[in-house]
Amino acid sequence: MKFVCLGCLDKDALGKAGRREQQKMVEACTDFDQELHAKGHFAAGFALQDTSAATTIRWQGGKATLVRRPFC
Amino acid sequence: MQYLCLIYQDEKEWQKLPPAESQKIMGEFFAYTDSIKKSGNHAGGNALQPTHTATTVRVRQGKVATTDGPFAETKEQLGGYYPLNARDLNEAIQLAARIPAARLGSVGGPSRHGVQDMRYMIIIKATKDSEAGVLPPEHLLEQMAAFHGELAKAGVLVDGSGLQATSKGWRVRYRGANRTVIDGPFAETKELIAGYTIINVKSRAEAVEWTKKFPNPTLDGSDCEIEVRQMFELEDFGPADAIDRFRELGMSGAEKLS
Repeated sequence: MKFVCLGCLDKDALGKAGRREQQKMVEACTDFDQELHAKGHFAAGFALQDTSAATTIRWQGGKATLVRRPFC
Repeated sequence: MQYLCLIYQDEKEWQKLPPAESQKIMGEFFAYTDSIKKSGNHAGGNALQPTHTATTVRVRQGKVATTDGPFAETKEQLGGYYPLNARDLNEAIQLAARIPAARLGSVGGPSRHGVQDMRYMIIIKATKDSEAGVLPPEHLLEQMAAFHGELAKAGVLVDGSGLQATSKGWRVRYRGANRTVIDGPFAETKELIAGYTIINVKSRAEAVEWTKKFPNPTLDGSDCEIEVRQMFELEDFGPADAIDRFRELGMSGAEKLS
């Protein structure tokens, strides 16, 4: 079976964390990815940029419209 | 660059559809997947089970707490996703707008920037041999081929090439309004380059790991150095018309070879 894990975080809290702490988190993620890889559990994974870089496409009445702003 | 398209929908609406209708929409999704595979934009993707099969895992002060779905408080749920390879955000939006989500009778999905890749150029310095036009021996070519094969397999190889001796090159010298062409060869071997490899990675650490494995490029394995430099991405320059023009020229960052 395949499972998708969605990693959600409070970006304000992340912003407040020190550079070293952020680095530690990234390293912990990389270690975890490697562990999954080694055990054959890793199917795919991505880190995402900040939601300020996101775009929403909404369909209404068959028409697609763009919303270029962060999500609420 | 990679973009992740998250497709949100009202799963109750979806479940209410008659089987013939939902099969038709699934058919449209398969056709869409085929089309982006053909155009080289496909980088994966999955449909997700309804949220009653979902579990949220929270870790607070080292303690793990789980909450089982469904999650009633959300109007729309994540129904599936596509990571897409696209030249830039505009192309990603064009591709995302073709996702058959409009037919679900509800709203379709946000598209999010994927992680920004970093490109590094590994620079191989010239030697007396490379300047004399001596070709690398077979064992070195084999090592280089094996290493670049590994880069390609890992999806990080962008480009690479050996350079001909400077005797075949020239410099253009700027003096005020004058431009003079000066033919090679050039004497200062240490400042000349003999080849390059460009890689596209997620972090500096990853680039360092790869470059430590780069085969010694000299003919006889003698002491030498290679130099690694991070390349600018168009995003580094901030918004400007000229930058958009580069983007239109397809110079927004290199495509990876696979």
